[in-house]
Amino acid sequence: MNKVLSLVFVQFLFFGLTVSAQTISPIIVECGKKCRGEFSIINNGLTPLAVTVEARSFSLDTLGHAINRSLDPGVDLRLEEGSARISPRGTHTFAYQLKCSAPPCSIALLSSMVVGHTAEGILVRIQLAHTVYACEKQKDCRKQVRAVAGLAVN
Amino acid sequence: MLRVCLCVLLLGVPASAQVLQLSAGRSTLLGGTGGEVTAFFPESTLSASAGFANGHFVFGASDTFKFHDLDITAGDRNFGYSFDGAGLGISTRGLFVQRDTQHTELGVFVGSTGIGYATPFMVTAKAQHVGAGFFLQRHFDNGLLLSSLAVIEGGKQTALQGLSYQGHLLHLAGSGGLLQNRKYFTGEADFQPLRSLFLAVTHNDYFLADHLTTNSLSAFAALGRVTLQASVLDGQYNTTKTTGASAGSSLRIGPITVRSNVYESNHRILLVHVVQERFRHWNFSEIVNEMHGQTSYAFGGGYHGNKISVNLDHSVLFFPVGGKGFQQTTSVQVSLRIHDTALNFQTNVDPTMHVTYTAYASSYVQGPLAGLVMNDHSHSTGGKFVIAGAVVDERGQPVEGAAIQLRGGAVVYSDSQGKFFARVKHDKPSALLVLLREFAAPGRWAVTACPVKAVPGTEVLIKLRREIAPRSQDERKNFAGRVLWY
Repeated sequence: MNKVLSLVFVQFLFFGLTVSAQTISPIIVECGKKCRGEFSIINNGLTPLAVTVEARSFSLDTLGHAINRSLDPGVDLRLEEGSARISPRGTHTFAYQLKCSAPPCSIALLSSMVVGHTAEGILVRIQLAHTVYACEKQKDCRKQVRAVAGLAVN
Repeated sequence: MLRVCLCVLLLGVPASAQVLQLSAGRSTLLGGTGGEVTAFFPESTLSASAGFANGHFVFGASDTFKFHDLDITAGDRNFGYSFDGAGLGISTRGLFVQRDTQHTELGVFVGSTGIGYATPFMVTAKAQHVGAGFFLQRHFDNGLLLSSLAVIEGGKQTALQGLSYQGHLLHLAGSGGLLQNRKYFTGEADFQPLRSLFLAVTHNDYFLADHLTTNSLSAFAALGRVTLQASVLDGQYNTTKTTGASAGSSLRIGPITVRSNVYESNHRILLVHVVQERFRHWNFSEIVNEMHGQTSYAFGGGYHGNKISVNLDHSVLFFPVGGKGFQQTTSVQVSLRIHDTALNFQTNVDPTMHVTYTAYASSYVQGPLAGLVMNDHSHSTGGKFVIAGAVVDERGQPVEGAAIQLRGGAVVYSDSQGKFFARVKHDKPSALLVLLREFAAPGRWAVTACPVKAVPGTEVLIKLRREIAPRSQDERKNFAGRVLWY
């Protein structure tokens, strides 16, 4: 019985703070002028997670940094869902259809989620991006977009 | 009696935990019935399992926590490591220490080893022998990987060493040593001169009761929608030599993939043709096998969604026991997610043609200190019509993270522009409800204006007012508690 009590005591001894990461997959996709796609958010935490998805067009500067803006007029994006509640250790898949009338189109689907607060009560929100490159042809679409921005392929 | 007391005490501790995971199930395939409670504390995880396996009461418990840079587990745990195709997995009861850094992975255990019973709903171990083990893996910047595994348990010794190199085009790996008192050696070389071409050579030596040697040479090429593969294998056990070869190709057009493979071994030829159709939610497969002039068919299909996954497979299997020969079998797998609870059911047919099943459920329960807790609500699963709107504060600024419930239970959240939308199946007005307690946005809010109903195709505007401080004594107490544990 002493062993049991020792185990319970050790349990309380190592009380602290939990940190858990969220995951998005895939990060980058390439497609033609019309495409259907999906991405998944995995809630690796132990509490439910509210996720909102926003779409942005973006361009790359010479350093490879993305400059986000509202969706370009030539982009017709249909998101099946704009938000979701993901259960603990659960996965949610967001589906979309994209039509790009003036390729190439570079779109970032930004998933925002509140993952907690700091000890001072400051809200901690993270944003994970699913990036879609749409061109006339799927092959080497990202390479083309990066080349236009004067960047190397990788 | 001690075991019962241990159960009661360990299950008593999780009652105050942040989050509990409860699992329970029954499996006629694995021969067990039982359950597991896992309590997630901020920096430790306490787990207790109990049940019956093959007619005997079994029990297991473990406590995993961090101590400086070390992950320590006291109790039952599987000690399993492998590299270059060799490895060992044993059930242990004792103390397990693991340390992972950018370049090094280290695992050490001392305690007892024995028969383990691991299912998705119960993990137990039975101590039989005294044992100890050690695993070290070190990555070097030049692409070298050094691995070492040493285990002593129940009079069996394992001492494996491995070295591999990962270059731009070339991967080389070799390992050898003692694997549970048996000598062992394996070597592998992979060469990828082009992005679309892959070549591999392997050699294995196992010193079992007699010497077993296997060699293989394989090639794979991807040419756009077409893939080609071929391999030759030979093996020798004692004086018996076996050779084999396979070749195949596949063609992918949109969601449809057609694949044909031919396998030849000891002058016997097997042809396998597979057609697969993959859509966003649905997938189907049809398989035709031809061997000795006999043709057999198999097919399967499934649906995969956020809430439910179903798979059905029908095939013809050969049952050697009882002279049953080829028999048609069907297996079903269903996974269902209801709020925070996952339900799983799977049937299998064993070689004696008995239908066995595994069924289990797993759920999460949020404790009083769990922090951001949202109630259970289902979510819209799509539709033809759209209900959209915006949420703003008293100054007209967008409010992000506001939770809005539509008639039927669907809950949506506003984005950084304060906008939200939900797809509905019917072109009918839907009642709106603002769920103030479900907000992902910080602070306290009050609704100043909200339409009673929303009509698909029109945009609704919801106005909120932010309240600065909690009003009542109870609210202040709860508020302080939540901030502390966020």
